Amino acid sequence: MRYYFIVLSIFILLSSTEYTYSEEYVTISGTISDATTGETLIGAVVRLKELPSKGAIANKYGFYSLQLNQGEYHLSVSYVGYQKYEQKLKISSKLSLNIKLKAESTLTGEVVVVSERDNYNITSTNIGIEKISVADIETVPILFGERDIMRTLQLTPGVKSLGEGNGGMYVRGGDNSHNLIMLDEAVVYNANHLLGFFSTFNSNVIKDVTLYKGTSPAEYGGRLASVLDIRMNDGNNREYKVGGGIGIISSKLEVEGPIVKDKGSFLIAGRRTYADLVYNAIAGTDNYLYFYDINAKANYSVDDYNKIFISGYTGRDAIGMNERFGIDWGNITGTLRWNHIWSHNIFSNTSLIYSDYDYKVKILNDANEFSISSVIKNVTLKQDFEYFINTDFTLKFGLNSTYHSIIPGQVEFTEDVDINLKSLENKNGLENAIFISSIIKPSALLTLEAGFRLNFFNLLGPGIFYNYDQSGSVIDSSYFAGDQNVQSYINLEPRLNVSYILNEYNSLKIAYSRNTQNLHLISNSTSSTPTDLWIPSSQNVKPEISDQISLGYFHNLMDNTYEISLETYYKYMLNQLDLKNGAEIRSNEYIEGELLNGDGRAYGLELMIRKKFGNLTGWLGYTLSRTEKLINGINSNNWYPAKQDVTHDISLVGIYTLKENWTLSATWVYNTGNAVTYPSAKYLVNGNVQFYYTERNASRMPDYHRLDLGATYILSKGDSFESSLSFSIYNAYGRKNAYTIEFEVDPNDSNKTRAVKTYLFTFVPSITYNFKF
Amino acid sequence: MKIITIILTACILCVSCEEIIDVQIASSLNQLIIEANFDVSNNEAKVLLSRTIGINETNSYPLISGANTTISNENQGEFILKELSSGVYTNQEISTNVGDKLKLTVVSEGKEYTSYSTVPRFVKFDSLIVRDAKFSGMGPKDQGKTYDITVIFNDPPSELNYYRFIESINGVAINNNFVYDNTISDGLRSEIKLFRRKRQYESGDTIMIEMQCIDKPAYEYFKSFGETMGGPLNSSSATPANPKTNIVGSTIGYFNVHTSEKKTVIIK
Repeated sequence: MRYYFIVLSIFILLSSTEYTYSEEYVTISGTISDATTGETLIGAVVRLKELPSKGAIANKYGFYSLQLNQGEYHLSVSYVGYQKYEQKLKISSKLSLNIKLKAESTLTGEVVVVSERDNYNITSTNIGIEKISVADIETVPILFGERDIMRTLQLTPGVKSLGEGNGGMYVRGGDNSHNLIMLDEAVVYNANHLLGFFSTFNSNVIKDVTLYKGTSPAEYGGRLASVLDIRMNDGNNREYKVGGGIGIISSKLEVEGPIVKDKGSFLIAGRRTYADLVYNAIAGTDNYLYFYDINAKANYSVDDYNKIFISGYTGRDAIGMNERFGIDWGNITGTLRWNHIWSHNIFSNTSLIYSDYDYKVKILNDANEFSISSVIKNVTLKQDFEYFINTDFTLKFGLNSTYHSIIPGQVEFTEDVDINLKSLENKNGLENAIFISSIIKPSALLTLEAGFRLNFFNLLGPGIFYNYDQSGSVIDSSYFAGDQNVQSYINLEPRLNVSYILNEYNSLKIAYSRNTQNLHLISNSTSSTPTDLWIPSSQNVKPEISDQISLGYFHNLMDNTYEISLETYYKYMLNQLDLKNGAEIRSNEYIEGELLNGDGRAYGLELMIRKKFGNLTGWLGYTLSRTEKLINGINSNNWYPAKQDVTHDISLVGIYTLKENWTLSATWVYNTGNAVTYPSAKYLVNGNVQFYYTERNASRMPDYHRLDLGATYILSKGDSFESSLSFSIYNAYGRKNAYTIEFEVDPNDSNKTRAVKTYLFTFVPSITYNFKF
Repeated sequence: MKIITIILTACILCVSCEEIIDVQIASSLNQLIIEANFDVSNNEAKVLLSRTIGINETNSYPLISGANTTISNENQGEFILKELSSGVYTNQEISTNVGDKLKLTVVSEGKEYTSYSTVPRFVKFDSLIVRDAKFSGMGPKDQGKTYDITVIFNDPPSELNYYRFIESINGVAINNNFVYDNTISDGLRSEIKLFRRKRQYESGDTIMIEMQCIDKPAYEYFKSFGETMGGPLNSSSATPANPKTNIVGSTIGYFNVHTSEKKTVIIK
């Protein structure tokens, strides 16, 4: 309650200062949206000809607010892919101005209005941020032709994947579990379908994707490495639309339309794969392997000052074999939001969020059946305020309260089954945070975004909690009741971004941030599996902490057609966890005694050259980096490369518009093989050949490279019916990239040992039909 | 649960291919391997000393002669193990009682290695059941008949007990370390299925299961032995590492003082 009081006091204090400005300033505010669909446009730039260094950016709900002296202005609004909006205004009092932008069109016969080539990347404080446009996602060729946000993001510098079959996203040396992945503000714990071949996000219904890999704004917290903020479309509030796609392994359909024209809309979308049906038909098996997901959203504008959103997601994967074995898993999220505008220059959003991830493993063993299920879920209440004090000063503040509960493993079995597993106690935690951050422009050239987040974590009962000695053996245990605090941690997380504009085409930026994480992923495999175990911070497990400093130089060429950025970062991580050799993580109530603790460090250089306009668009990304760990008890307590340590990483993406109805695209990726532990000798024990290991991760997988090609042919385009065919070839030159390398006794000569490389995909063609009416 | 990861990946591997590759590996220095077993039921102590060789070398593991090998018991003093053949050291005269802490000392080429292991209580191996498996393995269309093995014994109450089972076919031990503790079955009649994928036998095969009661450090060695050897999934299983040895001075090998009881079944 104390935190709420503090935030409320700040709010009242700030509100009361408003009169100081009201004498001299007037406010223009409103929402920027698409003229055809009514979708709000996140990040649209509002500028004034008379005050070139001032301006406003539409927030995550498309809202902008400007404080100006009374007078006449030329106001312009621009957004990539849209025609520039211009209006002359005479402002004498508060003004509500909702702006609708028209999409840029390349249809023959129409006048082509080129969108403004903005230099926002130079002037903003954005450093270490990747924004992927929906257009990029639609054209970049992807495995099985399934458009995918995560796979497209992995083509940008500093964001790595570890190849096929590993859904992990590794941002600037962080682990996969260090990413805060949110869909409409709800945490998505497992962002993968089918063990990482696809992400859980249906790109057809995504409006905005922002990845913060450097300093994330103070409103985000809870993970070390990155924040991936994904926002769903709101739905067309002007007319009903149906869209969809039919592909070789999956199909999807979405329906959207107005609830009340111009005031409210809904959207519902679903997708389902059917690759297993094809496979079973060919191979004559009765295995299953599929996923489906459903996105739904509705919004309603009560009046100009109040808007309500409700959105949800549910998805499920299932894999099983011959009624012997089955596993299914999925996320459920729900978000209820209320936007409120207070006196034209204070925007508030209140969100009530639910998020849940669970899995269930079933094994049929003779006549007996047993299952293990596990759930991690949270309920969050979030209150954010944005206060546009004047064009040089914006304040954001708010609070966040999350109740976490983890059911780590519920075991159920039929009688007389001999499985040595038992159910574990549930874990509960309360995480509260308050944050404040401000964007200040002390001069036309200098912008500061400074803030902090104060995070309070409480591990709560009920349950038995253990203390361990150095060797990991239990010393004692104590019982805590349901409302008792077992352990608490308070962390202050400062965040700072500074940008200095050298001139219209050059800027320098520097950023520092601290992040902490109180939920820890324990995994004894290097890929993300559906059965990952999360544990909260406790007496034995301290919050993970990272400090990152980054420096960037931003340069635009040829009237902002080319954007070049060069960023370097150094990150140090504390309280990193690893497992002891042979640790059992399933059904182990003493799991905390199996953990090893240490530090991590990561540093690198990221180059991005992006061409945003013209017939040929795309980018070249290059990352030079190193990621190392120092874990007490591993590698003789010396630094060693983390598995995601990849020295060179290159991505080249090209999209070419050929005539009006053909779009061609190509991507080429190259990276140094990731770090692995190969045996350094062999020996005989109990009559069997065994391998001997020395240094951790001292070897390298072979280099990875791949070319993907894509083409989209627009069959018809217009208001009534749009359709297109997309063709793609994954791994066009059939590179046999290693999935695993294993050592085994040569079956042809038992005196020899050989290395076997397993590779997954060479040359996968696909075709997808997309439509919208 | 490792098996689940294997199955999951096996599903994906339906679309995979394999090829043999050359991997250049810098070999580490030769390491001494100590395999020390003391079967207290038959009063037989046996220590095998050998060396590691390079991965690409032909399997011929040098045995180490001329080491001083002793086992000492606090109450009874020190016993020397005689070198029976090259690298094999034995003694059949060491008497022990349950709970005795035995110390193994090996001095080879000027380096001393030590380890401790405690004499465990004998638990009777009640019965062995070998039967047809309904759950026959993974992958599309398994061929042939597979078997399940279940072992039954009564766990003594109110103490920590650790068990190891060794499966042999026609006198050859299969590379599996079935180890269990009694944390959830303390004092209960235990029926444990020795889980192994695609267990196939031929008619006439002699199947022998040896039950050993072992101590905690040995249990941890065999348990980690099973879990850390890399397995078939180098990139998605646990990072491979050496098993958790209980020998001071070495990074590999073990000293296991155990009971022994064997049961045999002939496949019809």
